[in-house]
Amino acid sequence: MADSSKIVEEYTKVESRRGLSVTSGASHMKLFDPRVLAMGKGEYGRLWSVVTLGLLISFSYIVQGIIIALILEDVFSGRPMAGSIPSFAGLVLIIALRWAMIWANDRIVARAATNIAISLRRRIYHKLYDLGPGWMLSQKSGVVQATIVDGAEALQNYYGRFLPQVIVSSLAGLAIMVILLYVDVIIGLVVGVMMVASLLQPLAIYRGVGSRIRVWFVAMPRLFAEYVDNVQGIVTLKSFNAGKRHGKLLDLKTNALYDAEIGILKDEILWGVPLGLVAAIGGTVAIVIGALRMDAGSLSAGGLLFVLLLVREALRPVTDLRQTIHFSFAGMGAAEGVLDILEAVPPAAAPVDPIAPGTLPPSIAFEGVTFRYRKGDAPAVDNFSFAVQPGEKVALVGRSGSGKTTVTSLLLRFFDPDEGAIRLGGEDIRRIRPERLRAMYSVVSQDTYLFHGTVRDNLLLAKPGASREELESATRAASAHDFITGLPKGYDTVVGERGVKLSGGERQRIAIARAILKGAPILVLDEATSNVDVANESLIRDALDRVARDRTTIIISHRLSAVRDADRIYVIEKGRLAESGSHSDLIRRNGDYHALLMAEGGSV
Amino acid sequence: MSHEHHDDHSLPVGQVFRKVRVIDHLLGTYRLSLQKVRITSVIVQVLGILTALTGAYLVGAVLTGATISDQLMTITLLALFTVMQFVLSNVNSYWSHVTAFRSLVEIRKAVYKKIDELAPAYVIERRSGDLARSALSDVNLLELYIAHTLPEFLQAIVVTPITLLVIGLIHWGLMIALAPFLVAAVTVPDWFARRAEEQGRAHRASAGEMSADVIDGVQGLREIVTFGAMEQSIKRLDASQQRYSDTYVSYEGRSGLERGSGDALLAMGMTVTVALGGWLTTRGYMDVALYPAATVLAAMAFVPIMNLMNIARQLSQTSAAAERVIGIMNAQPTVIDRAVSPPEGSIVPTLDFKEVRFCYAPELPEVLKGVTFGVSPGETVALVGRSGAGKSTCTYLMLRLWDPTVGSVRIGGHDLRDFPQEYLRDMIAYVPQDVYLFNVSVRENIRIGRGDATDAEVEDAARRAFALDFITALPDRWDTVLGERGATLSGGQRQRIAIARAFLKDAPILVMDEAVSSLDTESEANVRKAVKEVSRGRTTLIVAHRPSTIRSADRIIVLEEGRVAETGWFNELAENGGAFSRLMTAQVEITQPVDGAP
Repeated sequence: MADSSKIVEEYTKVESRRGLSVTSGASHMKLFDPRVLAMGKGEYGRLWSVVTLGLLISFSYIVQGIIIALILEDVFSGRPMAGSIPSFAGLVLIIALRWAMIWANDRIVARAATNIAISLRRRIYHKLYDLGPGWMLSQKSGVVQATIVDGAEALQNYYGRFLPQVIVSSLAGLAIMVILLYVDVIIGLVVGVMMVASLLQPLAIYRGVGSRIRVWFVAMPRLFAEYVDNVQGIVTLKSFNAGKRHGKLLDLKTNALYDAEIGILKDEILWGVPLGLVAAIGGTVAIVIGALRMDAGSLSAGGLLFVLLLVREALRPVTDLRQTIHFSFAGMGAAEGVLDILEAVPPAAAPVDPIAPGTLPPSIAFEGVTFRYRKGDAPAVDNFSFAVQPGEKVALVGRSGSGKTTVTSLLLRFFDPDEGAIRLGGEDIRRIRPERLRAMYSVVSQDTYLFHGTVRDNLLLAKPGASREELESATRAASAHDFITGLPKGYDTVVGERGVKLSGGERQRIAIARAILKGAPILVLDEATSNVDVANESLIRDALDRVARDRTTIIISHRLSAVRDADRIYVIEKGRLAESGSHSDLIRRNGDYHALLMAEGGSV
Repeated sequence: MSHEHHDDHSLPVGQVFRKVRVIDHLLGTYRLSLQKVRITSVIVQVLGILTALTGAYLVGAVLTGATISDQLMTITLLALFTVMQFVLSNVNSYWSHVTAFRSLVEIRKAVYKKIDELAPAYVIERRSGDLARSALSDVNLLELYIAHTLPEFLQAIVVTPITLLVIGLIHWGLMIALAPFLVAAVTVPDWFARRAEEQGRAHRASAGEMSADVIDGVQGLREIVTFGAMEQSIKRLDASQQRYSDTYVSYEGRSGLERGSGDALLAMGMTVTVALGGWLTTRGYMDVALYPAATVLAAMAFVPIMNLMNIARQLSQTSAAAERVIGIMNAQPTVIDRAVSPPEGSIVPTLDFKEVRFCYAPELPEVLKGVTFGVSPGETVALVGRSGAGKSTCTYLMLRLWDPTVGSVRIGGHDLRDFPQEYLRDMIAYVPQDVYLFNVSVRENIRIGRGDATDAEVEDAARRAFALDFITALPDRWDTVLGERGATLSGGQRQRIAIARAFLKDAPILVMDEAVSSLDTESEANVRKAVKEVSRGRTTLIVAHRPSTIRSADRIIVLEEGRVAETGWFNELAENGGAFSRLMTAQVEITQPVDGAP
């Protein structure tokens, strides 16, 4: 087991460095964990029909066994077959009913389960919106996606299949035991022990290896992600002849994970053996005891036939439950991830007493703002102050990593400052509802995300009810109309995942059109041209100039050319304000701004 | 997959059989353990039937007046079968999973090795990420096949006929009465085959759509939140979730119909056996002691078929996965080693393109139409031209990611095809346009350049690539895992990482594809210095976009529509009014008003 603990240790190390924890919660999660059961509150109402139908189906098998036992008894006691005709009619009726019930059951289970997933995904989504992009920064977006897609699916089976089956199997098992107790107390007890052992077996296995299974559930996707990473970067690896070496590293890790898997498997089987044995021999023991008691004259012929046929049925609820037990393991593995999101604390909480709605003048002020992404880090923004009056155009410039983009995140309240305050129209933004705050801004950032859908859909995101004229005047102003009409289906062209079918410059012009369409009073241009080909830059710059007219504008840029005509320029250096003033002021001061300008001048 | 059912409407047993053979082919070395697992699983099943049979026989015997002391043999056998079945089923569960996991490990290794061999041509064609993901998750789906499908399949074709024969031994009439129900049960999946396939496809499509919408919603979170488009986005997700739920319900409903039909056929088969057996017994054609045994056996005969039906329901999914994996394994690489060892003698680092013609696929237009140029040892040559002129293609041919259709690329006068690929790539350091950063620390990302480099060497390479300043400013410095917690790098920083890799590799030839997008001022200056450093003393071919890079080259080669349009010094070309000066004017017009220091 040395290898398995090694890999667990390694993943734990990696994860803790990433600020995530694999094992902390996992080791305490039980099969019926109260947190997980509580998470399902609100979903259980859907499950009554599932439980009812499941019970009806289970009881139909019991009745079928009883009827067959009665027919067999008739034959053994030499009664004519004609007397059994009503029994046969009953059998056929039960079979037909069950046929319909199984059909209905599978539909109902599927509906209930997917409804649970739908509701869970909605809850996760709503929570994500509260947590916002600030929280996302600390996560791997792939893991969040997997939690929403696969995690909800694993839980839909936990809630929709496993939990109802627990009830159905327990009640059906209890019914069979009661009938057998009535036939013969000892046999009833033997079968009871057999069923309890079968039901406890998975719990024993889970107790023995549960925490390691869950670690495996975390480690496996990580290794998987590593494979994907290597395949995606294969050209790089190949050109450095590193493909084989990396392949070997992957092999080592794969082997270690394999050893862990086999270790779990061994333990799973070993933990399952004692109770499994009781369950496996229970049926045989019951039949042998039945034969012995019949021999001793303390059991009737009919009673023995009951035993023969119902012992088989006693295993059915147990088998059904076992088939769903894997869902429960997967569900537990997924629950952790879902709970992590649902219980996460938003980096910027909603206001307790939001200020009354009204019009806020579009002015902004940072007052001694300090912010760190993590406790103990150097501040990304350090005692920073600046102000923009309505209608002003203000620029923030500085080298990459100087803290400019953090300013945008703070403006939009993706995070709250550790110290100081940010004011909009004179009000602390912590007292403004986030939706209302964000409605004040149009933002164009360096990497524009386009959604899979048509160009039109992507534009309408900014203003759902916009008319065709509004749309086109926005795209014209953004110099985007011409290229859009040149696309195969014009405004109805599907832009592809992440907008891959468009060039960086085209995506950016759509982003600008979106900003125009939104028509918010404050415009934030965050490195709006830095991912654009040199050839497209001037087109986009013209478009931006048109938008910025008559609006309060904040330009964040590492290029100085776009900011020369700003009313005021703030130079940031390592999160601190280095100097500020107009273009000509700053040149005269011969400080950082001048140095940046010189560096840039040398580039062409 | 789609045409399968139209071409041939065989029973599911036949479908499984063909697909099982395909999987076996993949698992070559594990065939023996697979056979072991399959045979054991049949024995386990037979033991289960024997247990039921002896139990029912014991009951029948006791009911017909036999004493327990007469039946000690039966009881011993019953106990033996019960325990043997328990032991063997646990052993087999272990074996089958070991075999399955082990095979997955091997298949995954083989697929990775194969993708390495096929890259980049195959990867590009299949849209990189999707291929990787599907290849790897498809392999995972095979577990179901190996650990479950194969054993269950064998049980159905071996155990059911044996059971039916044993019933025939009790009375031939029972066998004849039961057979139609068994045959009907086997064909149940076929009744719904077409609907199953359509529903399966619809469900997979809706699942893909939903997952894409989720990804869109997560990756576009910032846009959704800043535009206040939460309701719109939820509505969209709701719509695709609803479709997903609907297709799932109809898929499961149909599957329930199959399951219910199988169950009804089993119960009817048992009922008929009870009725006929009862009649035969009362008429004296059959020993009453065997009557319970016949009843129990009738039900047991169906068990393997029920298991097979469960498997058949997942068949289209898993076999499609298997076919994709096999598709990858059978693909032909674009470049094949024909030399085992490099040409003899020392190799001078000169580069030559001789009348090179190239197209990416026979049906695609030619990208290079007879390109000839050379680079002398230590010389830096800039390759310029409009996008689509074939510049990057030249770098791919240099690295032998593809081979020219006509003509040859040479190093030291030797055709690249005369070098083993590994040897060739040891001679060249490559700095691509889109630098791929792996999801590991910065340090490890640079170490890609040379696996055995020490930390000090890695740091030295970073220093020479002017990457030290931004690396030390990262949250966890050298241990920062790139792409996480906002530790993203700008275009210029990424290029400097790639240059640091090239420094580390220290190869005599440097091939570089300059970034197209604008870099921030500081990066641009640093990248320029780094390129100058790294190209010193190396034979260098740079695909250049920036005037400053072009100007600092020893010589310029202008590509136009797959041909060399002109070649010469910067000033020489800039003034002669040819292709190069046209290109420069176009660029300068755009770049000029952007800047301009006072």
